[in-house]
Amino acid sequence: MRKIFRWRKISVPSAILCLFLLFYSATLLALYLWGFSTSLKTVDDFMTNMVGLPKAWEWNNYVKALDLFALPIFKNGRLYNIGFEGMLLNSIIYSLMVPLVTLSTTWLMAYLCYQFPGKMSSFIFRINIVLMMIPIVGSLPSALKVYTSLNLYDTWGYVFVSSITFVGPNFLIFYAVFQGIDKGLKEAAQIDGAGNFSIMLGIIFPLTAVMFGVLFITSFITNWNTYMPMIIWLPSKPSLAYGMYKFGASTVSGSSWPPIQVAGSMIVMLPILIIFLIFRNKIIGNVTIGSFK
Amino acid sequence: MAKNIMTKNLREIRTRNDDIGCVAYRHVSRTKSSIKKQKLMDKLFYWGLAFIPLFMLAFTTIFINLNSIVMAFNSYDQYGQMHFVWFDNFVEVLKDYKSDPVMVSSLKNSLIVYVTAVLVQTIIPILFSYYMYKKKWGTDFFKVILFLPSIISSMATVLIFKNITDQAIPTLFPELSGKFGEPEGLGLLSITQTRFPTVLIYYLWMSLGGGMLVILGAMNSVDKSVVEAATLDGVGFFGELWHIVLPKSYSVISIGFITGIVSIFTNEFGLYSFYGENASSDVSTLGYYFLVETKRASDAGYPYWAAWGLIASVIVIPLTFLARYLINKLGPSED
Repeated sequence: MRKIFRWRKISVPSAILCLFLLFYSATLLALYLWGFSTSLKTVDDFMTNMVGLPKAWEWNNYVKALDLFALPIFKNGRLYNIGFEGMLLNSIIYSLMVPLVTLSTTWLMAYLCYQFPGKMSSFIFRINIVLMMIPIVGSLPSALKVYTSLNLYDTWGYVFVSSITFVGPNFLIFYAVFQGIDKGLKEAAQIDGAGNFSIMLGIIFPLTAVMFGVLFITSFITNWNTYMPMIIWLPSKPSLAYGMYKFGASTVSGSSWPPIQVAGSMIVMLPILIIFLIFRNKIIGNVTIGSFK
Repeated sequence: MAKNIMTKNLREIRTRNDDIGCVAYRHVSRTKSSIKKQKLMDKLFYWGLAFIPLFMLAFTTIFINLNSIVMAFNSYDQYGQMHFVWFDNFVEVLKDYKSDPVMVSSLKNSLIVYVTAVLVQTIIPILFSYYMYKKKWGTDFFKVILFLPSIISSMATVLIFKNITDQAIPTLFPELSGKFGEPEGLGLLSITQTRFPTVLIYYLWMSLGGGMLVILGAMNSVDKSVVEAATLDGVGFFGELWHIVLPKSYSVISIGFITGIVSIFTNEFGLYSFYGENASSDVSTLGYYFLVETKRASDAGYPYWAAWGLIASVIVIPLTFLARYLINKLGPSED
């Protein structure tokens, strides 16, 4: 009875918005559900029954997709074949390295700016804001030329070096987190004889580890899904997202069949979907915290 | 006797004071030196840790962009030697903006995407976010569902979408492409008249959720007591949104307008996931065109694209600051 009463309390504008949201959510869910259903069909079933549920659940499509998920890579005058495992490894390395290096650098610079206020720290803070605001377009040709001449093109070294950056909104998020930490903690630690490293790693880092972890997961997901860096910078190190792109464009018998292709996309989606469902509250909460000017 | 005792006591006190003075002096001098040492240690710590990030900042923002400027004024000959060519590359780019059909079409499409995206990705997310801000029915469920496009690989989603538009739809409606004067059996991404709207709708559809959660974050920072007071005063659902919530979260919402300007030149619009490097000129955007051509270019082609980027920056930087100024000046007041 109480629930019915609550329903009655919804105003007309709320009800209209609710219907729109339900419709939008339904279209999104329909896309993924259609994909899941298609991934379990045989080719014949797909051609005759595009919208309905599979007549027989063809789980074998996933095994076939894993087998066919391979890319020929040309490097050092030789042709290699990178399979699912190789791409999975590349995805893991890339998705771990970029957030780890970038967030560590950002955390460190925000920490230094907060703990050691002065002209330099103020300059670093301001330059971060200015660079976030100034839109620089088209330095890609120059960057390609420079990194190629440094022999970093198409290497993990490029990923490491280019990830050492602190410019971006995460700097401001960490800075805001440091501002919420009691300054007395540092003073007490100093009186007890703790050095700068001990204070930074032993006292301050544990207090900000949760935020670091949340940003790490968010960044991990973004980097897992990205494919542009592989196309431009790491052509011989394809990730699963890049492999997915090639898999989708394939005209080879088997991998060009829609149910197999969609099964491949489901495999790529799955790890991130699991991570998201585990950490959804933290991730969505972080978007809320992070959205400030 | 008493005088002797007093003299002795006085001497003891003086000696003791002298000792205390010495200790205090020694303590002060030691404190001074330890403060100096601490400051030195702090400086070493600061610069030891900040040096590499600052060096990389200088390398990526100053050196690479300066190199881009140098490249834009040069060209490579057949032997790979660089020659200073003044503004030749810039003139060529500007000529192409007028005459190259791909560039003209890409510019037109980029502007359409920008205007549509700003309108759709601002108005609809504001309304939806407001619904969730008011914690109406299903808010937690909607938050999770709306976040899905942001976390699921766009490549995987595009692949499913492509199979719907170019496999399922032509099979279900084989006569559809014939109605557009094209051979029967073509999908929405292949028919000339439908491919740009199809990609645009997909782009807007998938990018609604992420924007919504950011706006919701901004709305959550609005003081609840102000909204409650307005409700008690009889302000309606949309009245609260228009007069209280929107002005207070305007600064965050306006970021989309400001940062969107640069996207006119950089947004590849997800075309790479749909067409790889083979998107036709009628769907191409400037960001996509620049990306594909830079990737295809050899050393000899880089100066042209460096000049292209520089022209884009010269247009975008003042436009961004102008937009920021106008938005701050003309935007709603919190009063």
